[in-house]
Amino acid sequence: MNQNKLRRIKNDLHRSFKKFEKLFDPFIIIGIFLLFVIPTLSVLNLKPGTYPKQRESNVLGLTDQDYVSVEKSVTLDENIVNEFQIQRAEKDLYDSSFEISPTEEGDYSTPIFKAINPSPDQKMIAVFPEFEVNNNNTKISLQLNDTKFVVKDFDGSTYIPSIYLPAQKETEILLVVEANKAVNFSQNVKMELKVE
Amino acid sequence: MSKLLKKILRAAVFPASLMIVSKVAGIYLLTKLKDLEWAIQTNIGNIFSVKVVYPDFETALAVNSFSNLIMYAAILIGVGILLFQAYFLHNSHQDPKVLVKLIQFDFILWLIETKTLFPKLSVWLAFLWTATILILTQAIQSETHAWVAYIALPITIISTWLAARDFEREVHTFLPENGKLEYT
Repeated sequence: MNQNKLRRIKNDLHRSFKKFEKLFDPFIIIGIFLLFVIPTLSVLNLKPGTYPKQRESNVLGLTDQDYVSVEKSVTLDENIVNEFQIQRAEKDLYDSSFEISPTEEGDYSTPIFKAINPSPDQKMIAVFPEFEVNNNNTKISLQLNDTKFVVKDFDGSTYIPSIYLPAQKETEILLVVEANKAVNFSQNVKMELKVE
Repeated sequence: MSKLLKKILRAAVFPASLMIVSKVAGIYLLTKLKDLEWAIQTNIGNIFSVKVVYPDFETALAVNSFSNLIMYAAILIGVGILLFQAYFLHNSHQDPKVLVKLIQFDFILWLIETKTLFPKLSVWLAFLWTATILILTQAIQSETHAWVAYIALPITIISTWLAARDFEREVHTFLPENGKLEYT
């Protein structure tokens, strides 16, 4: 008797569970649907792209490049500086070399570098000079507008000046040679220009 | 109904994960092998907020094609295993010679026979078609090399045909031409 009752209860429970189980069907269908949608969206999301295009800047005819470029000044005086070379070693590093011609006593200057800063921010160029022969009769500086940045002093000490370049502008940097005596030989100079 | 749905749900978890993992693995592999320059780009305003980016379009195209091929190959291997099981290991038409060979190579432990393979095979085929449609769409939009689509589409069609043929053969073993059930 008890066994029959127990079996009936068991059957009733089983039947109710079966009905209850059917309630889950829509969720299982949603689950299956999601199992197809999630990988599809993930694969679409994983599709590689390209670097975003740099902002175009047409200030003073500048190109859309994103880095500071330094080149030889078109108005360079070959009587003061010759054998001028400049090359971009890395994205933010330029190597330049030139020869300062023999000079009479006095002050001489010539535009030497043309730096273009296309970015909307002010940039800084650190100049690392290297002189093959240390001549005590000359003082060499770089000049931007009216500001002089000493590279080598009369006593032979060298400096690493930092020159600030205004945003979205083309800047002319001058080389100033001050000789307190006549110099009868050429001076080989190397300058590493690091944009920071 | 719910038993079948549960079976489909269970069967879909692995290929769904495999699709994502193999795509990521494809991107990672080519980037590492070719030592490519890459970056992560985040775009909060977009539904696809994080993106792997490469310096130029050609590189991005190559990486996308290669990763799509790896993803497709991974799903195809799964389908291939199931088709192999369906053709050679299934109870209704297993060949004793093949079974003996498989026992020798201990493959049986690996290829565990289930009562019926069709829900599983259908799910894997659905994923294979999903991968193929993705590749086709991207090939049309020139985001994947067209040759990937040329490889994927015929293979998917052949795989589907093989699965359908096996299903038909299976049905005919217990439901012959006259439509009456046959008891063996």
